[in-house]
Amino acid sequence: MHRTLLAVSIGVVGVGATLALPLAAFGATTPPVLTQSAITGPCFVSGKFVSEGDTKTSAQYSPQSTVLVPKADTVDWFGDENGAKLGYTGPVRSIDGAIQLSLPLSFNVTIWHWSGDMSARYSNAGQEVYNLPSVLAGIKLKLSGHETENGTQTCDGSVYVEFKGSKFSNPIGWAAAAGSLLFLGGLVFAGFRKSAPAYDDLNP
Amino acid sequence: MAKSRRGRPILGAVCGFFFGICLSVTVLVYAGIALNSILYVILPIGGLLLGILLGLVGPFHRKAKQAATT
Repeated sequence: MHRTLLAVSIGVVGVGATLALPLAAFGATTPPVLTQSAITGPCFVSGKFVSEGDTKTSAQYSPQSTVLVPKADTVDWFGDENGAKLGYTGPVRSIDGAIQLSLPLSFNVTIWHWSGDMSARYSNAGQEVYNLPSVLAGIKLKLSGHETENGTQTCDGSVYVEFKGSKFSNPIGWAAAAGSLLFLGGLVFAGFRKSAPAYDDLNP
Repeated sequence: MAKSRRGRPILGAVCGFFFGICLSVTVLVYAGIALNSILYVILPIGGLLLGILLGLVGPFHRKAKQAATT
């Protein structure tokens, strides 16, 4: 599961391991917002879903965008900072970044973390293959990410991700719906008054 | 003559809590509300409290059978 989420985050977010913040968005369910990037700062990410033949970039989406992600695909991702070409090296700096899954009450689960004390790279690229289970079909997650350089936050951003596939093909949904009915019955039963034995039964 | 008493607060708490959890998962899958929503905390806690309340108050009751007179 961890590996699956990692692969998705790569595909969805397209991270550069030594580079800047990666929060990309691929395949939208909401119209792309061209005036605001999913990333705040000088970072940029793009990704191409090989099977779908669709390329998306972080500049096409806002933090409110929902990105529809295939359940299985191969993603060619690229990321840069300040438009650096792939292979460009610059001043060495310490970097630290992460991709996180947002949970209620501001809890976050880190699904990918990168860091380095002497990083000279300002761009990166790679390819990831992933295959998700059907229990994730229709589920919407918020992925956020950030990168700090020399202790100062350089980029941060977020995007919502939803996995393609029929919601009704998700077995977890059916099980949860059945459980809801079952426990609702128990809840109603708990609200029925218990009857004590009749006076005549106790005092014949 | 039967005396009416309260319901089952412990059963209500357990069922209410799990009802909230199951409802949360149902909403997560079918309603398209993101996992980071506070709703997924409110529903199980709300279910728990509702179950306790229902058990304490016991608002539902069966019709009492008429005692046979001789």
